[in-house]
Amino acid sequence: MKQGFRASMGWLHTWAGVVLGALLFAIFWMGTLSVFDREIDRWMMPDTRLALPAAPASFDVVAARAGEIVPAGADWWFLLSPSEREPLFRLGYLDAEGAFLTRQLDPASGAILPDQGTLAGTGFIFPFHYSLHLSWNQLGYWLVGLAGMAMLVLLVSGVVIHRKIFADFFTFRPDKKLPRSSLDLHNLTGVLGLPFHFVITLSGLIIFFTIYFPTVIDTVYDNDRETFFAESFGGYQRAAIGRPAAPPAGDGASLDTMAAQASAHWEGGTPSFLRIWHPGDAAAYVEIRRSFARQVTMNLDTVYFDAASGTVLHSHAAKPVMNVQRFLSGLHFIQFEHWVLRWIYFVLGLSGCVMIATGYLFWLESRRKRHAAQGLAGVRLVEGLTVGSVTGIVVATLAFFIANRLLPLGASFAGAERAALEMWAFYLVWLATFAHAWARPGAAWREQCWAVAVFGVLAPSLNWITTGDHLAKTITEGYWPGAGMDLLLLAGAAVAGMTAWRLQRRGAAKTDQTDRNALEAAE
Amino acid sequence: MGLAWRAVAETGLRRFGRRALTILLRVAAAILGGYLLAAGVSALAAEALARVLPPSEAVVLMAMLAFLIYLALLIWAFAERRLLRVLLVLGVGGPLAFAGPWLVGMAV
Repeated sequence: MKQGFRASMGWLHTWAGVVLGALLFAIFWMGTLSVFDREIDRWMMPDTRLALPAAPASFDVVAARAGEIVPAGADWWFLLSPSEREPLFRLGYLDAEGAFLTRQLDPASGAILPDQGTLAGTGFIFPFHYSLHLSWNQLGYWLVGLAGMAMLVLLVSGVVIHRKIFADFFTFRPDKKLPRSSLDLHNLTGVLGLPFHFVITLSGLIIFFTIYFPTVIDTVYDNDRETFFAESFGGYQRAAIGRPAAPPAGDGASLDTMAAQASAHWEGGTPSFLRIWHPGDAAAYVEIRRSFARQVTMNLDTVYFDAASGTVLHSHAAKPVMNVQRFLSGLHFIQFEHWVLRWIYFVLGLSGCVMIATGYLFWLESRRKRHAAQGLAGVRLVEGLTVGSVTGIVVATLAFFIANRLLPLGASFAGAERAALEMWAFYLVWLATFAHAWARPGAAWREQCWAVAVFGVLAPSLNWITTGDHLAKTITEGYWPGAGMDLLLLAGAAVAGMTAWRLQRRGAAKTDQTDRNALEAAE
Repeated sequence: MGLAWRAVAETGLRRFGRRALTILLRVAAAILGGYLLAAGVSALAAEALARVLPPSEAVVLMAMLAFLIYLALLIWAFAERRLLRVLLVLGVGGPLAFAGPWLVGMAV
């Protein structure tokens, strides 16, 4: 490699960044949005903009409603109880064909809510963050894993090539020429965000250790992964008998009694997840899991009950090393309730996006003149990639929100259902932004910033028109998931609009200068 | 004149091709070989640790550390100047370590 450690790390930083930066930006952007995935859900699913009742319906009441929905022959179904950020029961089940389906139930009555026809934040944005929605051979997970390792390499090499790491804490010279000011901003976000970026990337990888390093399991467990999962994550299995449960105990013991028993077992921990295995069968059993709301660690506390008698069959808690893994996972997933920390995650996530984008800008601006002089296509190619992956994905995300507000419930087109149409809007607009970026190199940044500004105003306006929830209403009523989303959209629109306007002015100044030079030359 | 230009272009291309090839080899050794070595070493260490820890704990511990081992190998692959060394350690050592648990099984 290059002479010297610092030089070789510089080379590595540059090229790993240029090659994988676009993918990293998409992952960081979607991850940052996932911080508020439940709030995005509320915005995109207007019928679920509910208040959390003081006393939600009991498990027994809701389970009776669920029993009416879940088809006979389902192997299991589960209920996720309502919380502040998701004020509804989520019912999930495998139907007789083995397809996974979910329904949302009213938190107070257990009544089924109309299908909202969208994957929204938890179904589209969040899985995009870790799987890119490329399910073939888990390709998406592996690409994200590669990008994650590259991110760690970039952070280490970035620290190595730094000469004045402390001074860069305080250095930002926005008035300097673009290469210098973009490098300042790259260093500022990189250095200040360094601990967060390192921990969030490493923990993101560690969440999926069973996908990324399966051979460690296979070696120790002789390819018996089921035993490993039972011993580490917990899990209890009892086969169905194929005979219906005896009539008097047909409804089984009370689920609420089991939940109270589980809570006592956890010394007051709240049960939040309940799953019935082999419903209706004589061997039916109930799995109850503990909520993550009050602790960082995503505990594995589980108690299993016999459905008919209500006796405890099995219980599980994570062992010490596994608890470390669950803590790191919780640090990444932020399933605990803490609004201040949630906002800090959001801001630090955005700082990661800024770091990646300014890294690209520095690469481009420090090569633009040379590449133009030598007739190299590098800058033009990478600039299109940068525009499409930075402003392009923002435009596409806004198109996703706008499509959500424009498509009527139950809409379908060319065999695609509403939820799929929203995704098509995202992907088609994203592709179009790349095409636009390569077709109009001089104007792409400015024009896509204008697009963000316009879409960012359009989305909250459509929210107002289609649901009646305008900002004055949501703020006075204190409905923060709705107000927050609208306010962030408008703030984003303002930033994009200001940027577009400044780019326009600078572009005009540059054209003036060129005209004047041309005039002088002509004279 | 034309011939001279062609000669220059061809040497340039060959030099470029050689440089591209060495970079490609190094990147492949780093990403693939590094992965295999990290996974193999972690598997062998987990197998050893499973004698003192509950097996599931040994697996989780080494599978988590595997990411840091991989990171160190990736950095080293680009910091080491001698390509041959990188190719030997990661390109040969990686597959060997990855097959390690299986080889150990064969020997026993």
